[in-house]
Amino acid sequence: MRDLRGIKNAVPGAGYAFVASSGSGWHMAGFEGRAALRSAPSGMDQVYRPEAHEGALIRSAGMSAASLAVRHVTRRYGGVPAVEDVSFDVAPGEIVALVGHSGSGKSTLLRLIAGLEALDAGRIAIGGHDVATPDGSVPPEKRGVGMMFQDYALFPHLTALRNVMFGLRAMPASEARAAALRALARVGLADRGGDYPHMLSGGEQQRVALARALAPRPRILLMDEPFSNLDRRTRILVREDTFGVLRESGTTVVLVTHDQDDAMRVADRIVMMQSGRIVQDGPAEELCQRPATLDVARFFADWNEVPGICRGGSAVTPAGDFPTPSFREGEAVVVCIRPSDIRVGTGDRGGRVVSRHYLGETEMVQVAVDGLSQPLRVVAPSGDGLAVGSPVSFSVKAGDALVFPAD
Amino acid sequence: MPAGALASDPPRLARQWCGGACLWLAASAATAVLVLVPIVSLAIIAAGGSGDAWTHLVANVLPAATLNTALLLLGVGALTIALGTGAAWLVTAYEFPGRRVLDWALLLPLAVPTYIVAYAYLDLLHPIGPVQSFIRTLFGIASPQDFRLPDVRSIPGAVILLGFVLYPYVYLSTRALFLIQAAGLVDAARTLGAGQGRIFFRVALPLARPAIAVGASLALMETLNDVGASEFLGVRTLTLSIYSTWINQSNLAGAAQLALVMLAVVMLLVVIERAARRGQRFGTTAQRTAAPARRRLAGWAGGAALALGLIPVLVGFAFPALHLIRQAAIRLDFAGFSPRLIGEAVNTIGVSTLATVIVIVLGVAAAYAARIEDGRIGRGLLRAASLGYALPGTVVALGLLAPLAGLDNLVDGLMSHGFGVSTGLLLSGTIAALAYAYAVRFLAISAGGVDAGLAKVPRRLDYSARTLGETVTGAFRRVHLPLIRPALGAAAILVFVDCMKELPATLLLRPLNFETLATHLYGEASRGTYEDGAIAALLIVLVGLLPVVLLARVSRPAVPQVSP
Repeated sequence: MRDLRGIKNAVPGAGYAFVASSGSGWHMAGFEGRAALRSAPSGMDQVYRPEAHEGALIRSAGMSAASLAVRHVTRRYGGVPAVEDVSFDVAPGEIVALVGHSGSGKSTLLRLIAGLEALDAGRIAIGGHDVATPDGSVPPEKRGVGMMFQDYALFPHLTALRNVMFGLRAMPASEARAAALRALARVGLADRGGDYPHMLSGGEQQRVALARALAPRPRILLMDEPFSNLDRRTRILVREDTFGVLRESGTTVVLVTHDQDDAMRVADRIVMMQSGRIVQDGPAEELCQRPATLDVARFFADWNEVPGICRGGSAVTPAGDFPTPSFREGEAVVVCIRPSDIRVGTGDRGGRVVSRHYLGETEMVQVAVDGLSQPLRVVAPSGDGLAVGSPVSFSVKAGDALVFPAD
Repeated sequence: MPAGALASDPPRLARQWCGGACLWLAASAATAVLVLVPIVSLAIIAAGGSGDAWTHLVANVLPAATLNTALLLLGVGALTIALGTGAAWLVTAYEFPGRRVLDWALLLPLAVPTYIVAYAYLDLLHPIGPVQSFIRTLFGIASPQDFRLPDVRSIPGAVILLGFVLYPYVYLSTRALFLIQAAGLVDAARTLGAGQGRIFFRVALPLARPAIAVGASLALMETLNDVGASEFLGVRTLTLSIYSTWINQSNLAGAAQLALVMLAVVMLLVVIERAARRGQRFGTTAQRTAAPARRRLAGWAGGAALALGLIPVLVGFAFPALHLIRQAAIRLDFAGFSPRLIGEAVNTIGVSTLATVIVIVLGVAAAYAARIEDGRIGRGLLRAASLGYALPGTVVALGLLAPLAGLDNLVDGLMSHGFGVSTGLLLSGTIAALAYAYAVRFLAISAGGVDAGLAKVPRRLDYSARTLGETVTGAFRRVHLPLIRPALGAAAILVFVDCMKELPATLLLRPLNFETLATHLYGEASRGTYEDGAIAALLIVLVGLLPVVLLARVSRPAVPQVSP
């Protein structure tokens, strides 16, 4: 039986080079050309040279990051589909975020890719080879995927070092130990190998989990809400460092998150799911600028949602009229207006200032408008001298508003 | 695995969820079959029995046996519920000197098997025994003929003795419920102006109904299982009738038919228990860590509470245990520790250890398979494997006689035919048969314990292990096994002690001249001789204290955990 792990593990430490860096971050020189170029640092004596290793040949033959293809995948629980007819691709080295609200099927999809669940229809291929079809599947331990979890899922009975060594069983213990130590050093925890998980902070646990998932050099890394257990400050630092490592290693990553900030900052592409289906798949700015549905729009930005009715090719609303060529006459719609697309102090519409919140260079002004149940939120330059309670005129950049059917 | 394999070689597609997972499911299925064998074989034997024997049984044995069993169950049920809930309420609702000790001391009677409490009290309450002699001396009565306590060898006597050793089942379950759930409601009731009596009868007792049902059904299953106490106390129960129909009359079909009647009684118990629990869930989710505010009893009231709480401990544990210690000391002084007794102790430990290993291995198989295949199949097999807890030992033993003999004959026939070697009896009447019976009886303990232990291991640890390259079995060995070790240890202790105490199945299945401590005691008590019996009984009680210590520790109110 051929075992992918055998190959990976036959080349301990190959591919990654560990570069001690000053400052807060931790960086790694990867085996791939682009990564090596990017991080070719001064401290070459500390850099592991894959050419010196007998496994280098094997590695270059097969150990680059793999592509992922998901085709018409369906998974039902007792007849109810959790994932339905989902298709998408991930190129080698690409970082894709699966986003959606809880229950949208994104975590189920991740487990299907990992092989932790069986699919009912469709197929999944890694590196161009089927790993899951309704007739059979490659068990998770043979897929060469790594996985990280929200609660890190470190083994509580093993030290940090032993946790990282867990997936390195195919190599001799001494090599596994050395490789695990290097992996810990890469995430800045070289001196914490002897600690048990409960002795580590949340951020440290996350880093051990990253080291553990990457140590066996997975072809694809799957991450299930990897930052949501961290407080805000730690989260941003850990996220940057984590994806610094991942980009340099060139690993293919599928990241599940319900946080649009995570998705926009780290992903090359975002796949938005809703009720088990993909509703939009594209780069971050596409989902932000041209969301396919009202839910996608809501997920990525903060909008003023104004109800309206289509009359003569325009959505007529209390905040103004908006061109809607593709809607039927009389159809109920929701017009989404960015707070920054409303200007106060000029224009033909009128309202009343109900509150002002100072935000620094700008301020958030809430303007009550007759016919709207919620005041409009407007981002205005600070110091406009608008008094709470006073009437105000405003105008909307109609071209940038989005119109969706009312739900 | 060839080191030169390239990643570009496609990994093989395997059948869905097979490989290691299928092996575990197969092991679980085999375990369930092992447990179901005796039940199925009983049904077959009973169906094949002659009608005449059945008519005889219905006319002469069944009515009295059923009536006695019903009276015993009703009496023991009422007494264990009264003692168990009363004691649980006393130690959870009140604070008095000695309460903390009483809290665990009330569990002590669990260490005394029914046949030992009967054995001890027969001696204690004998007309010329210590109690009656003392009463006579107290009132200056000269002869046993002039004054006599009512004979303990009666249904009321059996009810009282069994009730006082079996109430801890009810005590354990209701006390846990009072601690976890009742506190807030009791406080609420108090602010609504309810007095103590009203709180107990209108709030605590209805609230405890599911817990009472669980505890009482366990106590009643023990009652049904008992063979020694009923025999010593002269109560002809169903269990005893099964035993004597087989042992004295060699009527296997008749005994099997009676065993089926017994199974019907067991099922009735289970149905009643389910009904009593209906609509109420055992609240393990909303755990309160704060202890309920106890009502302080000072002065004579505190003393009275302590005295009241001590009654079950004294009757169910202290008196019989002290009596056994005294008798054992006399015997040891007189004859020392006889080699025969040592041999029996070795037998007991040997067969119990063997059975414990089997039970733990099978329990692990069933519980882990249910974790892998957490659906109808895995869970269903786990439930089937746990059925034996409700089967009285006599029923299990009878159900095993025929299949084991059949297997022996088959193997013997094959061997004689093929190799000219007669293998004789391989399983019947051997330690293997005993261990099998114990496994059927006690598998629920280990399967349940392991299942509960596994439930505390987050599933993401399984996922992590799998994506880090471990197989289903490897994940168990490297992740689950180390994490459930405490649960395994606790289950092993409980199973081991239950095996050591087991009497009814041992009596029916043991090899010729093979005595355990329990059968030794039974033999002496049936013959009316009192030689090493007290020592054997004392040893069993001492070992029986192990799980009591364990339970006392486990059932302590949860201390708030400091999160890492």
